[in-house]
Amino acid sequence: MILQDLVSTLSAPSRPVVSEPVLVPDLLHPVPMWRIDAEHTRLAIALAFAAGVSGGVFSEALDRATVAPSTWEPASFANDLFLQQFVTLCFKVTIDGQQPVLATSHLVKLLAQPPSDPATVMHRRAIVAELAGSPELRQQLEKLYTTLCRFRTLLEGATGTGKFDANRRQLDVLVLVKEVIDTAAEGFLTARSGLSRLAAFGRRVQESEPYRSLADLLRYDERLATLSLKVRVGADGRIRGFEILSIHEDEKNPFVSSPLRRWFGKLELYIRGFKFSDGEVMARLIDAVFEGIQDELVPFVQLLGDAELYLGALGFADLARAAGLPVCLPELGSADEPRSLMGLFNPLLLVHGVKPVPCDITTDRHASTVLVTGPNSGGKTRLLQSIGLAQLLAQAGLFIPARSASLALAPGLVMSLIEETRADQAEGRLGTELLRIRELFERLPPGAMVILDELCSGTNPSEGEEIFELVVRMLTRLAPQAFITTHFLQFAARLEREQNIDDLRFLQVELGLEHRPTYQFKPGVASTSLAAHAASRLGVTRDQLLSLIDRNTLQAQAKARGSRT
Amino acid sequence: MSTFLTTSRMDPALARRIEASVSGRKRKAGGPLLSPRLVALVRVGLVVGLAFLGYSAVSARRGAKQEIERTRAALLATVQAQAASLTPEERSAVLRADSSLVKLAGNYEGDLVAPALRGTDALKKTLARPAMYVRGPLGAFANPARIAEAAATSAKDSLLLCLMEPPASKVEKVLLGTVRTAYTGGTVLEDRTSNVRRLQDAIVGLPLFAPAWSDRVRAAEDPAELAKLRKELDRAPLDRAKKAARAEILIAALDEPSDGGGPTEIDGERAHGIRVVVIDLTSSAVLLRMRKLVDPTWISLAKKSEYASGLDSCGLAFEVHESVRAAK
Repeated sequence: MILQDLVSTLSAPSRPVVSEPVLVPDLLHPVPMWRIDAEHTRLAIALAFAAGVSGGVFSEALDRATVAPSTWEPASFANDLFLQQFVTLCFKVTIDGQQPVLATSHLVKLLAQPPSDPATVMHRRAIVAELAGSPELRQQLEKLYTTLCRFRTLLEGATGTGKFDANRRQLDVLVLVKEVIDTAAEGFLTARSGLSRLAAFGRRVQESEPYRSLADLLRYDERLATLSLKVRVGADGRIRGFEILSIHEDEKNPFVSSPLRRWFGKLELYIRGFKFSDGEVMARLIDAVFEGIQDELVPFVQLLGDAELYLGALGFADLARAAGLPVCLPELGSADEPRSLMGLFNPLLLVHGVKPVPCDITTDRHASTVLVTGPNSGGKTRLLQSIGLAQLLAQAGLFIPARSASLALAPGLVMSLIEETRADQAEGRLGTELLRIRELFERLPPGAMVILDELCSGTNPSEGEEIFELVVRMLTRLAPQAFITTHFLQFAARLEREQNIDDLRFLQVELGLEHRPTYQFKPGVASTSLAAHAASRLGVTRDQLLSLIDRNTLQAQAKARGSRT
Repeated sequence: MSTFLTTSRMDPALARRIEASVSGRKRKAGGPLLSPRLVALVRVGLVVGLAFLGYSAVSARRGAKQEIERTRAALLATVQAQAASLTPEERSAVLRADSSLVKLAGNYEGDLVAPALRGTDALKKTLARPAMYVRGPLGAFANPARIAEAAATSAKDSLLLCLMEPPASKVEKVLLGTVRTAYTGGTVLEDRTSNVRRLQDAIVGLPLFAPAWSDRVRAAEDPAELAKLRKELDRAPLDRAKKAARAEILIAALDEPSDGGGPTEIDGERAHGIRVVVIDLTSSAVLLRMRKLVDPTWISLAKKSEYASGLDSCGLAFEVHESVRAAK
């Protein structure tokens, strides 16, 4: 589906109703929700504003943030899907050539626990679509995000000017607060998706007394008075004199008072226990203004995390497009409808410098178990990763690594790729394999996606095939969206022939000239694993091994002669 | 309104927050450990204390300044009162005396006895007029500065007394009584020469009546400086200076250098020429100019060591009187 169509399709139904004041500019959910500990964050911001901290207000709040209700368990797939690596390498935000450091763990948490409510998915898809279709809105979100980053940096790090002039630092923080609010209020007026919540939030704050006081204070700081000067310049180009044409004091500003009153203000503060200085007067005013506006700053933390999710998704799309690999927001259907993933690619390959070969995967329904067969190094495991990531991103409401797709939401994902042998492993390879199967059924809800790589490869084929068949038959009872790779080719061929397991489908790696894998997949079961090809490619033929033996023998004999002489 | 930091144009909510901020009701992180009320109390005490100290300092300074002005005014009043009785001409007495003395210290122009001194007892009567007296080496009269140095060491002596009270003869026994009186000094000598003041009195005292000294008083800002001026004034012989300023004649004796021949007595007396002059200060006319040689060889050995100078001087005075008498 073309992106513009998606925008028009997705924006309208998810447009939030903003009749009530928007207290939280939550961009992730149709009904705004607090996901960070507001009270704790409020206190942390107040402390950081007062004295500066060494960082962590934002990251700690986002790390502890909750997510929308989700039936997905990250432990079931995150490691096998290399999710942390995917987020770190693929979700990059580039603004004006700069790449800010994202709160990766927060993003991983958001992706690993996709919302169970389809309305939330639609809400996010609408925002993503609108951002992708409107460069202006994307620019505004980037501007908002950049300002939030500057706000975070200044708030958390009392260095440079702030180290020596607390008032200046706090005023600079307040300038950024105003900039965030103004950008939110004025930059998203045309938004139709959930982004319009930003405008509603900004306008609500702008109409409040704390914002007016904030604006007045900043104006007072910048323009207590305006002098019009006439400058006389001599023949040598040097300034010879000034003449004041007019002095205009901003008398309407509520913070402006007479010099005498300001002096008495300083004296009053001294008597009250403060320092006798202009800086102390300004500090009291800043304190009062911040006290009024600080409740509105708490959502900034959550907003920064939200913005990172969308900008990261857009960054992933940019990365893929730059490699000639289009991405899309998939169409979402039911499990009974056909699945299609056109131009599916593995983004992990892309970020590791290998240009992936897109492939098309289609099945007549989602609720099926697909056995994938094919030669070694034919792209089966990469395919499983791609399918898992595509499902995950689709569930999160974001772009998936495919040109176009039709997917069904799943209540969970259990993924098991071949595990490396660990030193603390209690069981042998077969035992470990069986434990995987046990854990799979312990976690697996009905209708979930299951991705298994080389099931039962750790034992002899005849016994392994029995367990394999058992697993497949039991899986069908849960109507999963299952993808399983195997090298039990004869067994798979028998299952295809017999057709006695419901909803069992078969995909095989397509081979090209000289039986080279094309990294495409077609229906059916592979007839060979092409182990000889792999052995030849890796130097494990009879002739190659004999050659190595002869070389080693000659070298040993030569060494023995040398030691005797 | 409870704080000067708020204005009438402020939103009430903002004003309340500012009041809360300055009143310390909202304790900030990293704020002072002492309670704001306690700090305020201490600071009020500090402000009052500083104000009292400031007031005391200002008062003390003002009092000191007034005291200075009082001292200054008293000094100026004293000087002005003393100077009021002097005419401008009298204030220039030293100048006139110096001018005449410098002339007399040049080449000797020969003996002179003015007609006014040629009458019977005319010299004695003239010397009885208000007078100033100075004696010193001839070279000390070359300029006013050296004259001041000579005047500082010049006192009433046997020459002056014998001029005022001329002896009957130049016999040692006759002269010795007067010489002893002169040597004794004190009130006896003062009483017998009461019309004569030392030139030194005028030199020391008259500058205090000059505008420059009053200017110093006016310019003084330091009490110590004024005290120093006060001391200077108190030590100055103002009455004697005024008398000296009113002197009508100047009596001077200029000791010429010795030619080197003959012995020098124990008291320094030796054979040398002495110029004795009497000048009318009102007209600057020389009334008497006479040069005599003195030589202590005529003095008895018993008196020479002690009275050689005095006897020579007294003998000189006798000879001057005799010469004036002979000039009739």
